[in-house]
Amino acid sequence: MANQLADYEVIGAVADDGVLPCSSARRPARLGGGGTVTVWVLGPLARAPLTSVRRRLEHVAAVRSPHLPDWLEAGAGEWAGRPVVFTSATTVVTGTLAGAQGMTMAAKLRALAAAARGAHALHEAGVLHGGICPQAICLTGPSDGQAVLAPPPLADGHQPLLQVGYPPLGFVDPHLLRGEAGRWSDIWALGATLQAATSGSPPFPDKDDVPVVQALAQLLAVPQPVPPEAPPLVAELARQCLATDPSSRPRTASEVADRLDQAAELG
Amino acid sequence: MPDKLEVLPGPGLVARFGDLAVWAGPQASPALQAHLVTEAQRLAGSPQCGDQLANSFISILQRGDPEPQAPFAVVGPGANGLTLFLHGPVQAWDSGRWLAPQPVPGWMVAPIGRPWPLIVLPYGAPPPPQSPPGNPFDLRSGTVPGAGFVMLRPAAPPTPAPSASVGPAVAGADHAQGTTTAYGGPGYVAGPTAQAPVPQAPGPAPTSPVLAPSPQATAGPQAGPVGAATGQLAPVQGGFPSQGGGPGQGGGPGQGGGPTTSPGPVPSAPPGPELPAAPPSAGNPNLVDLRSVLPAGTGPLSQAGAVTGAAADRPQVVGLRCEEGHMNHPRSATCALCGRSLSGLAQVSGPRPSLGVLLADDGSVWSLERTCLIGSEAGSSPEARSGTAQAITMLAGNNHMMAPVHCEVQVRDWGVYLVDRGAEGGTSVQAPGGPGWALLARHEQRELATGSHLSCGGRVFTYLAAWPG
Repeated sequence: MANQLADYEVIGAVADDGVLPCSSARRPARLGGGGTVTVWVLGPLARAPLTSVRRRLEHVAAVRSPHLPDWLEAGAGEWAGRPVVFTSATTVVTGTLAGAQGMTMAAKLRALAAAARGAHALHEAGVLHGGICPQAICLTGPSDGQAVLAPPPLADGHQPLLQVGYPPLGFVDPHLLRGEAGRWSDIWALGATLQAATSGSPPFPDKDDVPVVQALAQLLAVPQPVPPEAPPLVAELARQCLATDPSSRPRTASEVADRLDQAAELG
Repeated sequence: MPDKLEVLPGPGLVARFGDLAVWAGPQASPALQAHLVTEAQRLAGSPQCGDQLANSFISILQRGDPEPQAPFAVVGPGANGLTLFLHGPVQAWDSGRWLAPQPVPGWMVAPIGRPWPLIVLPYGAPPPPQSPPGNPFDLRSGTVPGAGFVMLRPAAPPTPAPSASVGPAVAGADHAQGTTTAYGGPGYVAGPTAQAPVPQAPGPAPTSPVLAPSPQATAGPQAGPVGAATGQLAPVQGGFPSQGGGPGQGGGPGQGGGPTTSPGPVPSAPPGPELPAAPPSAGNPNLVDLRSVLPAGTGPLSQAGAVTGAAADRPQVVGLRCEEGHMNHPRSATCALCGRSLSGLAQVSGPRPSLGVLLADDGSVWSLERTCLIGSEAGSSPEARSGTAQAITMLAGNNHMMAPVHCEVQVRDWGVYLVDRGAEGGTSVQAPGGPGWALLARHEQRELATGSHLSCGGRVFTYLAAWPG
């Protein structure tokens, strides 16, 4: 793990599984100093200068929600020897749903509900997240399901459609690959994340182990996944979110959040 | 050269000082009207006076809205083109959509670039009639009665005009031969040479929120004056500062009587405390301050039921349409969208779906809905600017040259073609399973099969078809 990213002194890794590296860091003196912040590495700075992603990040940062990070800034820096784009927030993240150990089912559902509400806030402001996956559900409390939705990928589900790696291909709506991105794409990803969180494995576990082009081809003809053993409400919600036809999915992420909270209440 | 500003006749007040224009409806109190004019006049010389005036209002409104039913608008230069601030029952057309606070009444602020024309008028009012060619009316400076205004591309050549600090509209000659602005808006076309394509006309009044109300927009812990997007705040007693504005000038609550909450300071010159300080990242091109960005003026994403509506303006092709209406390649056996059988169906015309994707060597994936231009400045090309092609901006690989538009991937009917644009270094293609790279002749085009690789400027792309070959 690198110990410096721009002028952020990295304290420790929160998540470092290669999907969306996330670390706690000291707030630079330039920004007032004296506190802990969270930094995410969004991806390589290879295609174009930071200015090309500036608009995307500003659109996202303008959306204020308790279910989204409290943004500080975005920047370009070097991480593990390569130039990257990163973003930082004052929100303190303790882990992600991908690495959560010992969380109750209810807490997982509440964390996912919080993320769904964050996605809904973005959707209402015209922003598609495009990166919802277990690594993007950032826990902000000890174990009670408090969470925010991580910063989105640099690609916004339009052009380019996505940046391979974050999110993992198994969490990419096949319709997004057809150029039909919309809030239904995030809802599909919420369903896949729900299934992964409740069953322990994603609905398409082999998608990350095959060459990218093959994976894309498979995703273009994705079969209907079979929900895992799970509470009936959860299984039904996952099935609906993962419907092949977008018009059969829940209409908003807010609706997904309400149903997750209901399932969490029922234990 | 300042924009042309045509005042719409009717009750209300229009003021303009420099590039800063304001409007207030007749429901606005005299104190509010006076405050608008005074502040506009005071801030007009500042490079980002639109942001500053909007921020001063937001700082007041965050303490409570003294006049929620008073419509008013501010348009002026901001960090990202023009900044538009709307309050109460007012609407604005930015040459692409109607903007209005949601809920009404409420308020909103949005960067709107540099739209011509920009129309500001009361909420629900019909769009103004077409401006006659050579319309000479142009408010250059001052305050006049008016029910709204239209801001248009500056007339050319410039015509010196007298200015009036306060007084009737200045009827500066607007040389019509330079007025070519047109738009597909609500029926208002200015100038004799209207020729712009007509976008989807939204109708005379907004029916859906452009910036959805968000409680966090006003209640969030970081909701400072600039970060706020929309809001609806409980009325408070007091009012907008009376003419003269801030505390330094003895301003304070307006005519509304004894305040329970101060309407808050509105700074007298120079603008100060509630304006954003220079961010710590200012001047560093590698850093973007995200704490005080303005919300984008885009509407909510459509819901799942509207998925098929997005295809409405795509090119027409002949294919197979499943029972659900999804368009498919003529050789498809089952619908790629819903899986229904396509056997026995007759070919019909319909909007073309994406033909596949281009996968770039940096991991970015681009949908092939229309022709793509690849180059270091592809977005600056006329085709990209007009929307007939999409830009894939790519920097050159090490020791390579990438032309502004190096090559294109054309999408025609159900086929995808690589076309060389004659740039130095050329364009190469490798068929799937082929022996190696083949350099295209200048301006040669070649149909791509799924799995083909193409290379230009030291970058590599892979084409993946979404349909049977």
